[in-house]
Amino acid sequence: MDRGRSTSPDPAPHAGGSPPPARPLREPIRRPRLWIAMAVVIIAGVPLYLPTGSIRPLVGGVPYWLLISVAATLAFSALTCWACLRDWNLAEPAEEAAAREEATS
Amino acid sequence: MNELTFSGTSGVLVLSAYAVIMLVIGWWAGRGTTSSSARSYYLSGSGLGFVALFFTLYATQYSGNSIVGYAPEAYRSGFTWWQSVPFMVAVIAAYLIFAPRLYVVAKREGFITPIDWVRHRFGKGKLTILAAVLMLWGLANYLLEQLVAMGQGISGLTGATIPYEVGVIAFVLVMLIYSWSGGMRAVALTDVMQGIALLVGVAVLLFGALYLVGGDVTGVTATLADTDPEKVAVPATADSVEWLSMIVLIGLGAAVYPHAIQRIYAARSERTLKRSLAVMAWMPLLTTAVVFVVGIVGTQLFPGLSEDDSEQLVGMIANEVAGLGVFFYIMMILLFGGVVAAIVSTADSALLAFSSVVARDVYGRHVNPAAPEKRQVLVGKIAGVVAVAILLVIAWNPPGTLYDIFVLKFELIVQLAPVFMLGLYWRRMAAGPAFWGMLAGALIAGGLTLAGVDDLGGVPGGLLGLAVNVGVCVIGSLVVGRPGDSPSEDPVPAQEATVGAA
Repeated sequence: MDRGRSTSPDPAPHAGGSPPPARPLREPIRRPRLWIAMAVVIIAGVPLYLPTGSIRPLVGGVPYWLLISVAATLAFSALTCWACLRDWNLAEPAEEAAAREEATS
Repeated sequence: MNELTFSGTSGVLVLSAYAVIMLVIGWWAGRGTTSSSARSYYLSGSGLGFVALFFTLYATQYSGNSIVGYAPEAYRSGFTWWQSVPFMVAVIAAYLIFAPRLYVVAKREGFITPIDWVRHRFGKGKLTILAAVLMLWGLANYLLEQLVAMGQGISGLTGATIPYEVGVIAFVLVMLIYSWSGGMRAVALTDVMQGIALLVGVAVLLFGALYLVGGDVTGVTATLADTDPEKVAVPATADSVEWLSMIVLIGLGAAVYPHAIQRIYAARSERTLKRSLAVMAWMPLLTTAVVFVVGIVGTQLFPGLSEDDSEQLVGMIANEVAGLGVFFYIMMILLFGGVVAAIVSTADSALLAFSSVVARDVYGRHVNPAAPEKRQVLVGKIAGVVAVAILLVIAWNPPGTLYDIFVLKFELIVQLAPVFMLGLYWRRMAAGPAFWGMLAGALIAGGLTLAGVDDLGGVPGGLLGLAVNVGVCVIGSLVVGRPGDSPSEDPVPAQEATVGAA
């Protein structure tokens, strides 16, 4: 069940005449999988689980553990960016409908 | 340290040019702002578009300390300082916990200061007063840090041609002038210039540092692995615990900073806000990651520096790079201005938030509730000037290294997180337990700091305080609160959510 979704009312007609397709209302806090994934990439980036004091193998002169941490940080950024754009849609439908209404009136 | 390239007249000219640019942008930006409306002055009429909002988020989150303080930290700590990248990403992730719903409520209720939410949700009682005190304390400390960094940056980068005190006073005056006249609009638009200067400066510093080592980063790390293996090895468990703790502490703390919250209110639309934050999620890789590499390269360029000497690392590298030729000299001018601009851009945001809390939540609520908005704004401006004057006196004797005071403010400000992150969603959360939790958390965090205990097993005092804070708040609310004590702030009606989920 996806509790983060709801169909927005979006009553205003599209500038071209037909209303735009309704987008689901979404709130990041309602997406448990997002926060589980966040926890995984954060913990993966902290070398708690690796043997203390180890350096090698060096990959291109860089210790293996730093490469793991860099990869995890990239995933953390990507996940956060994705969540901003795809998991967050509360006020936008109403704001855009109001803007369209203002433009056509 | 050798004679600096920016010592003498050139340093004065560069800084003067930056000051003039800031004043012109601030004046131009402030033309349409009216000081008679608090919303217009403090939130730019909630009309910041993508470019202004993104850069004001960026320039506010990344201060001069992100360059002049973090590079030496990487130099001293080694690869463990990579943590500065995920903890900056964590700030944006923490926004996702509360910003979407707070934006909706703030627009509906017409919030101007972060305290407006606390008052709306928990009433006018002692919790609101404590939250205001912690915010003002955190902002004052934050501002103090910027003033210290401003003086050190200007003095360090000009080889003390511009004395510490003169540098601080000059740029504080510039900041006060454009903030006074233009409020948030002036602050945000100068942030565009300041953010660009910071980004260009960091990029050029990286380029120059890599040029100095012949572009051989892997050679630098391999050499470091041989000569100073503890800086490249998997850190001790306590250091890794601290790494994880810093992600939580800074993520939650920086996201609920008053000036950070006001940028949620100032967004023109939800679309603008979420797109700005989406780009912000990548900025640590273009800023703190780059500074991290510069700090590591510094271990090869200037090996064996003491802790005090390493604080001048960025100035030393900039000096070397500027000596490579005219192109590099000009580029280092950009960096030089970028560092100072970054400090000013962070300070002006903290000052504006400080001023708004004094004007609206102290003066407008408790001193003179009948005062018109124009008078409230004027009182806030004067309070800001007085606060800066007091902080300047403290800044003449700056404490320890920059990093130490940076952590100190988060210890207290992070105690505000539950009233936003729990209060928005949990209707049973009650004001009494929230107050006692916040007070206990602040006392534990402040007490440990005063006792000289930075952390327990790698967990900072602020995080321990936050754990107690949340515990008191949750258990207390379960005991004294009732389900549905406060009205629902849920922007997604339950019935629709269920229908949509089916």
